[in-house]
Amino acid sequence: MLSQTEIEKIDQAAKDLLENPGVRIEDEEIVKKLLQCGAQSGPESMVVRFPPGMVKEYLSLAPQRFFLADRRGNKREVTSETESSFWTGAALFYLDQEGHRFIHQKDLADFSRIIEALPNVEAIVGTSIEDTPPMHRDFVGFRIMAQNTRKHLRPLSFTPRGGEAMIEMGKVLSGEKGLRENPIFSVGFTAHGPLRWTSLALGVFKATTGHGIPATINGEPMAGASSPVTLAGTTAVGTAEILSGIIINQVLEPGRPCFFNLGFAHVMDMRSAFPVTGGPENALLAVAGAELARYYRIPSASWMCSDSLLYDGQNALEKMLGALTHAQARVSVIWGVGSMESEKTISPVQAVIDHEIIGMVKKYLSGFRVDDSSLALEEIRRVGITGEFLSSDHTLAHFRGAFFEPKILIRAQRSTASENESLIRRAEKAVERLLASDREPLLEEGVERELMKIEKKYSE
Amino acid sequence: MIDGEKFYLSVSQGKMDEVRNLVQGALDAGDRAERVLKEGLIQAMDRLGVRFKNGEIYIPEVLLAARAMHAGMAILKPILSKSTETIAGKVLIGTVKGDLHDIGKNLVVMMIEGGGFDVIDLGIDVPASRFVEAVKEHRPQVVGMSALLTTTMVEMKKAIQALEAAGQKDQVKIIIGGAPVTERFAMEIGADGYAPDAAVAVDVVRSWISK
Repeated sequence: MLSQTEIEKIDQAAKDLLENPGVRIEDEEIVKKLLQCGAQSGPESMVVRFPPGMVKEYLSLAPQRFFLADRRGNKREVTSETESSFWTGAALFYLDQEGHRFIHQKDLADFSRIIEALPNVEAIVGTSIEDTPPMHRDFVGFRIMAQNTRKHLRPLSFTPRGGEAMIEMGKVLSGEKGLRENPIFSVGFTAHGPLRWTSLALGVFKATTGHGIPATINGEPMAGASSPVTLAGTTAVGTAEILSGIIINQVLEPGRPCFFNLGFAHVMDMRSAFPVTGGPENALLAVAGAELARYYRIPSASWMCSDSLLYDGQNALEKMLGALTHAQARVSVIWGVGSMESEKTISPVQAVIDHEIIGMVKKYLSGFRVDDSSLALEEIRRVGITGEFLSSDHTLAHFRGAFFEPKILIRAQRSTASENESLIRRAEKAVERLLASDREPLLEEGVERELMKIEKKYSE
Repeated sequence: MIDGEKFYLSVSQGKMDEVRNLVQGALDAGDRAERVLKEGLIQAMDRLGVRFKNGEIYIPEVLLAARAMHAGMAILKPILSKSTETIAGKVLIGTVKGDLHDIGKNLVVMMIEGGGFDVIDLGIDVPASRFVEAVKEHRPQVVGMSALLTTTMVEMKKAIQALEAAGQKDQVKIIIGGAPVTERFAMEIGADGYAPDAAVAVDVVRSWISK
């Protein structure tokens, strides 16, 4: 999308911003470390300026490739070039057949079980959980997700202490190999724009440092509110925030795997001050983010979302735009499976619909092979003019996996299908089926006991 | 004689010098400050408010106009405070303790100021005790509280309880907002109102203060 010249211009603008005005770093210990590593004090307290030499030096420490693990024994390589991995999204609220509500522990457990059963979704992201004391929500949610899915875990971090608790839990879950060899979870935090890292974000970085745990470094500019209304200006501000976050993490832990995440950027609706997440501009910002990340040779992240309040047509069409554009740009990790209401709500029903969308997008992006076997000239000649291919050996040899096979989309004659059953109803039924199936324990008894012990210790 | 149309044109185009001249001119011609405020500046902002609601103009244009209005207000304020008349009303606002987010709160501040109200912005990470002190000091009609995190929205309840304990709750109306906040939550913790966005916040404040 962006030309090399445009990328270099944005890169230069971001580096100019890092030097002047700099970034506000609200943690004295980190400011001190940055100054020792070549940063300069700004005119105001806690404002740090990053000279170009320092930016170059510390960005070069961020790994170009690293791995994300799950508890099924999969290790996925991540680079700025690899195929996209789809994850769920953070949320406050839950929407299903029973209505809209704050997420409770049972909802997060159910949602995790649904995600466990959806092969196109590779990780689950933490949520708020209303029926848990606020300061314990991150590590209690982590335990609930671990109990209900073996996929990669991406808990939220609400306090540095929560980060410490999750490292203890993560060590238990990662087994003998340890977190560095078997990173079954990752963390992250967002800059509070423009150009500011809060003490909470920095506290979480500090608390989770030293174990090789991948960190998503989010710039989350909102065009027209916390960054210029022009997308180029927003991209420059977001890039400066992310680069400073990556530098901080490299100062704290040289070689820490980091995601360059500009794909959470929003635009603000100038009539209502509403933060838009499902518009074409969000797609542009996510694609720009992936291209910039590739320029820095660092993996990227984004969030495909919808502003719809329901699981409905708007949600599906906004998700299709997001999934297709982000994945085509090879964003490394795309959040948002099940997301809606501008990132505030998740729904298992929408997750099932999004899973279908991802399946279509993956199939489309896989293209098709052109070689002697797939061209099948001999077979075409053999079948001959006016012949049929249905019963040919070539068809038999190649038909499995040749076409996308929908799980909930309808492909039937009117007379053979229930014409009144919408996509939404079919998705709801899929959720009902998945939740009704037996729940085999996904944690060994001893591991579960250990997690509960850690949870108890940090809840006191 | 106050030319409402001229005030409207200058305010809506954000022409600060013109607005200052119009205000000073009206005062020099013998008009009372209260009248200049109501028939000049506030009627202009009210007309803009209607156009905003109709979707004809956008937030940046309202803010541009608000800046011009405040240029005129700067001339009127010392005279108005002498005559003990309040301005349109006073709103105290802050992001509650533990929460460092201020983009949404700042938008609400700008929009409420644009509605002609005086705003005292306590900033971020505001403990309950600071709300109590500030209500005592500034005597606002409305207190606004903001939170972006589910972990900090409980602080709104604490702040409301503190205002109640200090005997201030009945003296003010309390409005809350922020991403995790719902109307139901507002009612549960004893707030008087809830706004899902900045534009509604202005409407709620206006409905309370004009009563």
